[in-house]
Amino acid sequence: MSLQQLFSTYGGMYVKAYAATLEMTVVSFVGAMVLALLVTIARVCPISPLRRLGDFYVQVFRNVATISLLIIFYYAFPYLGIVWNEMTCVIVTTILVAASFGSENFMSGINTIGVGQIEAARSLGLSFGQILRQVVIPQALRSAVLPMTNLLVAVMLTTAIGSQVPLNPQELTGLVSYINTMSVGGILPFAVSALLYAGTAFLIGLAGNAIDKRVRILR
Amino acid sequence: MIELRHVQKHFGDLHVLKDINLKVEKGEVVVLIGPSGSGKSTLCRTINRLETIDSGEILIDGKPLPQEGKELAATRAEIGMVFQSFNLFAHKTILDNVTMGPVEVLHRDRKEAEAEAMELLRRVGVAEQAKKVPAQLSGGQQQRVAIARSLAMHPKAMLFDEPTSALDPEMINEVLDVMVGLAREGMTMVVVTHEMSFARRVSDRVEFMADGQILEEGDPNEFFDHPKTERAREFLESIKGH
Ligand SMILES: Nc1ncnc2c1ncn2[C@@H]1O[C@H](COP(=O)(O)OP(=O)(O)OP(=O)(O)O)[C@@H](O)[C@H]1O
Ligand SMILES: [Mg+2]
Repeated sequence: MSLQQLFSTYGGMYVKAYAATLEMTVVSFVGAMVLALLVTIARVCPISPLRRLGDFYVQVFRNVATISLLIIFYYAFPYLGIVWNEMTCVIVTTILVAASFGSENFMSGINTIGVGQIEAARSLGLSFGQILRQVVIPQALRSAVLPMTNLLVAVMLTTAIGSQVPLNPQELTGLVSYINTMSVGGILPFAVSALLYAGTAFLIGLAGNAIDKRVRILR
Repeated sequence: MIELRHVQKHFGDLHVLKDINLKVEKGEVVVLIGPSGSGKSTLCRTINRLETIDSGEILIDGKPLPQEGKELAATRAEIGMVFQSFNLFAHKTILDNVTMGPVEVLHRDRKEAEAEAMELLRRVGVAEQAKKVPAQLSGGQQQRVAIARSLAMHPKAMLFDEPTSALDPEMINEVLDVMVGLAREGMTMVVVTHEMSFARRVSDRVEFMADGQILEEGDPNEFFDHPKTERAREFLESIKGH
């Protein structure tokens, strides 16, 4: 199949698939950031059962195969009476896994702060919540920009697990499988998807570097 | 104003504070001196409960130091602390470092807090640096900002834990001068330092610590010229070498 044939037959589907990939990426990433922040706060809070729960969360979801989690949500949860649509399953899976990596990024950001600044804030009379908001979170966010940029790319690639469930519309990877079952597409359909993934990752990288340059903390 | 009674503390098996009794009156300047590892920092840090104690009592203005929560935070807000390593907030400007306490803890109006912060920065000689971040300042400048940050809370007493030990020699005096000024204005101060000139000029009392105990206390000139204990004599001999 030539490029021209590919686009005339599947061009519209590529556009939709790319949009689906982007949508799931953005929603998953935002969700993962929020969850990562909550998990991280639990991991540094003064209540030790909560700290252990946070650590446990990260250990579990950092070490689980993403695809098996998706299969559990999509194929096993209905037996428990929990039925989510395909896209929800993909997004929830991606959020849960990405949040564990996101929390690790925040933790290493926190570890660069050093106890000295925390002690200075405590001796000014700031409460735990104020120290989080004024000292810890802003610095953890700012020093996490580059690792979070990498995580965003990873999230985008993770949404390819959507190819394992009957998404409608399909995302980029699912579309390639579809094309190859409908017609003998050869390497070309893969190459187009790959190019879209790589091009987007490149733009994300540029944006991440630009943001990092602006917010990086001098030490 | 600050009183410690029979304070004991361990780090695991290490007995770092052994039956410490210390009284600092309003307006007094007390210097803690002693060999490395003798427990000076630990003692200083128990006063605003950055370190907890095993037993004994710490009284601030006659009231026991609160254990936790809002009351502890409120007491900490009244006691300034200056650290060896400055500990300025790395992501905030110099001005924001100084206004954070008043705005967040004392709920002061930001504009007023900024005006007062600028006044304090002028007083310690770093007003031109207000818009910079800490990493752009020299150590001596950072430490003066740290002092201004504490002063912005209008503390009733200030704790200094080796405020000049991390500084290059040429910057030590600019920080000591600010501290001398404070002492002369009647600030109640507990200062861990080996700066004999500071102790002689403005301190009312020197407390000599070794192995977690206060071994000797008294008038600074008397202590430096005629130490009573063998331990203090050895220690003074060793710091003269530097
Ligand atoms: N958090 C801690 N955990 C365990 N041991 C500690 C801790 N902090 C201090 N120590 C130990 O307690 C002893 C007293 O320490 P401290 O810092 O109070 O001494 P110092 O007199 O301030 O010494 P320096 O002049 O070196 O600052 C030392 O032996 C030190 O190693
Ligand atoms: Mg010390």
